[in-house]
Amino acid sequence: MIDRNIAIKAEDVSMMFNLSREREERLKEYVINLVKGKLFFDEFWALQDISFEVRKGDSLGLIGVNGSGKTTLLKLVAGIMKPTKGKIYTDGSIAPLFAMGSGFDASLSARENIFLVGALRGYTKEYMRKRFDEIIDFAELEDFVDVPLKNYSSGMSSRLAFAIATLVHTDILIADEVLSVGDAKFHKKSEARMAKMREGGTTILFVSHSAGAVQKVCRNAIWLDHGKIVMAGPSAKVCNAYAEFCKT
Amino acid sequence: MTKIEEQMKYLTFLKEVVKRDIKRKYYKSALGVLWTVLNPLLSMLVMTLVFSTLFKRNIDNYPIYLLCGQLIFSFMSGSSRQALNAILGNAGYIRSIYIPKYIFVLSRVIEGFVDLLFSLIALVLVMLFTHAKFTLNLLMLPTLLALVFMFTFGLSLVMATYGTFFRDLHHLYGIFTTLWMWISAIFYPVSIIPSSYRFLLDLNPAIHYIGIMRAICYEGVMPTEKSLVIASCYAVLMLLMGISVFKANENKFFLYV
Repeated sequence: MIDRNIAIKAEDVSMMFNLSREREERLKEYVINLVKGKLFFDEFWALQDISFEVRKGDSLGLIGVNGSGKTTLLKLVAGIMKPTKGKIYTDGSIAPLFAMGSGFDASLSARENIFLVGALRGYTKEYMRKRFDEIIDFAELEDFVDVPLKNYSSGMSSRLAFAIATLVHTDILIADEVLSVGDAKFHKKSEARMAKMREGGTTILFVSHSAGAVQKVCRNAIWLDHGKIVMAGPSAKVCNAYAEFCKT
Repeated sequence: MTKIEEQMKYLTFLKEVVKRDIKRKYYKSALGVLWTVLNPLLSMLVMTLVFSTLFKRNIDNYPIYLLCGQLIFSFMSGSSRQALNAILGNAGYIRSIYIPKYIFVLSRVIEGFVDLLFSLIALVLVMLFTHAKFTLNLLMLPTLLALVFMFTFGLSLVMATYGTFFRDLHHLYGIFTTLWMWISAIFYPVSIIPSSYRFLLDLNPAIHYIGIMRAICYEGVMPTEKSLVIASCYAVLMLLMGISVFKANENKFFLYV
């Protein structure tokens, strides 16, 4: 049994993508490849033997260059993908906050999206109604409540995504490069909001390729490179090492 | 949290998705939801004009005979066809958040079912108009609808799975459903099929559901026990098959969306 104080635990997690799969969407090609016995070629291991745990209320940063497997690991923790090998345990409700917008429907308005995303995370309409004004207020979208999201600027929709993810109660917040969106003012506001969530006991898993951002938000950090852990420990130490590495 | 509670969490989402899709379907059309009643009525009129002279001697009250088959069949084929795209069409969600994926298939089937319920209004209207007899056997209707729903959901789970992997299926399926429609005795009396080929017809699940529908609404009799048993078997088997195919593959979907 797993410790009740643990929010996220990864055990020897590996993730393999089959790059050749991309090309097998046609039935004909599939059959031809099947006959040739070529189906399982071109393996790509995005993550290899990753183990870590995050205690409840703690914050962990994932740092690394593009393509190091950070986002893949986040998606595994969020349950969007299943690992090829190994196991991931999570305890509590998860709010994912990815750069590409967390489950928005562009043809719907902010109002409708708030309820839809709320429902997606398992919250009732009544609960979301109570949070509604606060979300709109935080995202600074008072004048655009009934405008379809397709007419929003990218800053506006990421502000909305951030507001929904952080103003609805959640046990684990999974955030991917969020602080890079929005202007300086919103940036400050969102950092303050994340600090407040941390004080409130929310576990945070945070990804960035900026050492500075990780150091600000997280107590501990993991440095990933080519799908492997290079270094893990207190975020100041890991971030410094990473910053050194980036300079060279 | 138990497994059931966890699934109940997503009920709100299911409701929202169904509402959204139904709204979108009739978005900006002047008659809106009325189309679900009008559509079967109008196509029934066309078909009746074309076929009623052809089968006059074999079938009396052709409009009802036709509607019974058409409503059940278009729910089965329409929903499973919509399900083909259930995963790809919701790629945005699947890529960005965890959600039990069968929800997307279930929502498509429920949308088709809502359409079916609305088109039953068309059937009742035609029954009234043609002075068909309303009997207590109509009480069997919910049982039949439940069985058809189970079967269609199972079929839809299969179609959603393979529709995600093989996009050619979207084109092929149209042809398949056309063939399926012609072997389901919707427009013609079952009796015109030579008895030596009947067994082929009996293999078609749709025939049994349509047969029960006709017993209830058209002949006004109790469906035979045999037909109910066969229909239930098909429903349970298809549902089990759908669940097992879907479960075995759902973790691979994100690679294809």
